[in-house]
Amino acid sequence: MAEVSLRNVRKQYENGFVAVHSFNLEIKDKEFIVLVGPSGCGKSTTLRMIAGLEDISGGEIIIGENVVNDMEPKDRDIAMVFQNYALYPHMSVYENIAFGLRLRKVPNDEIHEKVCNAAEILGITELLGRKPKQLSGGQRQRVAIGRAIVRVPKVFLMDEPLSNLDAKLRNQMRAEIIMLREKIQTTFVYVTHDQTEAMTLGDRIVIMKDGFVMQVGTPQELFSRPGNIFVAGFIGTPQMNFFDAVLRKKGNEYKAYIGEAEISLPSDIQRAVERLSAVPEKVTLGIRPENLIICDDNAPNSVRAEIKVTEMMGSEIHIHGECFGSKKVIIKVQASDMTEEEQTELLKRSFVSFTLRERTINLFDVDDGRNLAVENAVPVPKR
Amino acid sequence: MVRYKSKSGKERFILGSIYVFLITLCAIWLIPFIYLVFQAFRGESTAMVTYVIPKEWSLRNFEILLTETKFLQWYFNTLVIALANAVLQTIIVLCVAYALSRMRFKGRRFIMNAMLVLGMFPGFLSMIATYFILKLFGLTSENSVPGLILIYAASSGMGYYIAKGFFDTIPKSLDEAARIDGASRSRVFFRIIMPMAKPIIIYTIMMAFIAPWGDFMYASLISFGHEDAYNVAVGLYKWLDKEHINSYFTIFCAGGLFVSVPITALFMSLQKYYVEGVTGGAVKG
Repeated sequence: MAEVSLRNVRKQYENGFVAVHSFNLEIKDKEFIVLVGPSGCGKSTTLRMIAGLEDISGGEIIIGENVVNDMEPKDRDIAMVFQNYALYPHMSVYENIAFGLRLRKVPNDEIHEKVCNAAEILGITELLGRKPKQLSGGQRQRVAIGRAIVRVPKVFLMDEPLSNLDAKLRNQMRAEIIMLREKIQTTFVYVTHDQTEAMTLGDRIVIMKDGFVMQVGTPQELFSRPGNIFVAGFIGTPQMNFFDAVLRKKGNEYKAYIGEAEISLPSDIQRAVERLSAVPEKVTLGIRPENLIICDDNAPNSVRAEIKVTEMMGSEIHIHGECFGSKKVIIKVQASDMTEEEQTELLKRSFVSFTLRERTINLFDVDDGRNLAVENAVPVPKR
Repeated sequence: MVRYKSKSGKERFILGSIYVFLITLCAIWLIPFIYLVFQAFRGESTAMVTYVIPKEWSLRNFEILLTETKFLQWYFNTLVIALANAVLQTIIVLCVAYALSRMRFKGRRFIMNAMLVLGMFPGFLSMIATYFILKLFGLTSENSVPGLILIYAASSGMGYYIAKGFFDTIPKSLDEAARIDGASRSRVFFRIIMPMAKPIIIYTIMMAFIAPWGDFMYASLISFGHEDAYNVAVGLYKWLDKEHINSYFTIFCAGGLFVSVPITALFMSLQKYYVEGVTGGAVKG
């Protein structure tokens, strides 16, 4: 149990490539932090720096009260679960879990008690005598977690622990990690490229791209007020829709226009826009597919789209289309809200009109992708 | 029941020819060895003769070998050198290979390439220099046993290649997991990596034992003129001189049999691991 601070942490490889640029994060005690981003964004490197498996090129990492920059991994009092489990193949499950305790010279009966306890939490008691080779993927992952929790570390690090499991098992293990977290009450840093895992597990999520932190926030914040276009596109499936829009003042208020359609801004965006020193004319308007509402063709402030593909997903229908200001617009319709005839009719249509749920929109700067309503938003790095 | 399609005549012919060829090859390979065995048991004379099968079978050659010559001394010298080298070289090779496989440091690539290139030059190019250096330390002639151990062990790190290939196939995350579990580098090496590296350890031991066991060139140079310090290869070879050959030829053959015993035994018992070690390392080089 400990707080972890990363201050201006930087990683540069010998060939000059900078994997992580100035990473700043204060992790509270018992907090569950998820690092998420596309491959090559530096999330694993950051985790490995916390673990001590990678040298730190700049800045400092503090675990509890200690600056750990030059500390060996074994002295940092951390535990880590690897993507490929990394179980010691020549040892039984029992010995795998006990290994760390043996190295710390814990008395035998205490080891026995702790190993059995950890095995019970994870439901692997009957596997203790087996070798890793005789286990399935899910069981191996449990053993790997067991090896980590048995020591009661200050910080628990997980590097894509579910990536090697099949979809069904992944969902199950995800739920188990949530339950595990309730039981062992410690600080977690979890790396994943899967945004669903990030959203469901994290107290706070750190989104990274090309070695830069894009945004840090709760899942809700990231979902409803993404700091920039990259975050907006990364979180949520199907992806958020982006429209080329124009910002104009009408009376006392700013309004956004997609073609003819006039969209009122929610009050916080309105205030943020008013505060800007120079209000841009062109903006990118982002809205999630579930917040586009199908309406009659001649409804006021509606946008008309040509349907390219319709996907029937069972509980919902995804309509992929093209409209003014957006080459690619996706509308998500809840199938349970419609009768079967309405569904069939919708699937046959080649044009559809929709309006926007105004309170859910976000406005982004056209040049650097920042959300106009988010303070200290980070621009999207250009390659 | 599974019924296999019977082979056509042509296939049978090809297969048959291959077997005939291989069996012939085996026979040719075995002739010198069979000849050696026959000569070792020949009783009528110790000279070289023009026939193969002895007229009189006897163990006299072995008797002379073990009682009237220095063969046992040579055998002992060779065994000491080979065993010492098996221990030293195995430790050195495995440590070098592990370090080169796991650690990243300045000059690593250069060292690996340099060792590979240097290894391509035959060792005897440096023989004269080595001789004088050893002489300075007083490790030649009567002290050539420790001298030879030093020579063999000193260059052994260059044979890292196969062992490194093997270590490269063991996932790095195992080392990392162990380090986080609280193990130091050396503990990771001995407690995690070594138990998984049995085939390559055995392969290395065998190689380290066999090379000095059969070495002639260095051994004859370093022990020059000092009969007590010969190894078996040098000692036996001296009996093939013009003035010795007719009184020692069959004894030479008996000695040859003794020399082949430990190597054969080693290979037979560890054959399984040997193959695993070589191919295991070769998969990912």
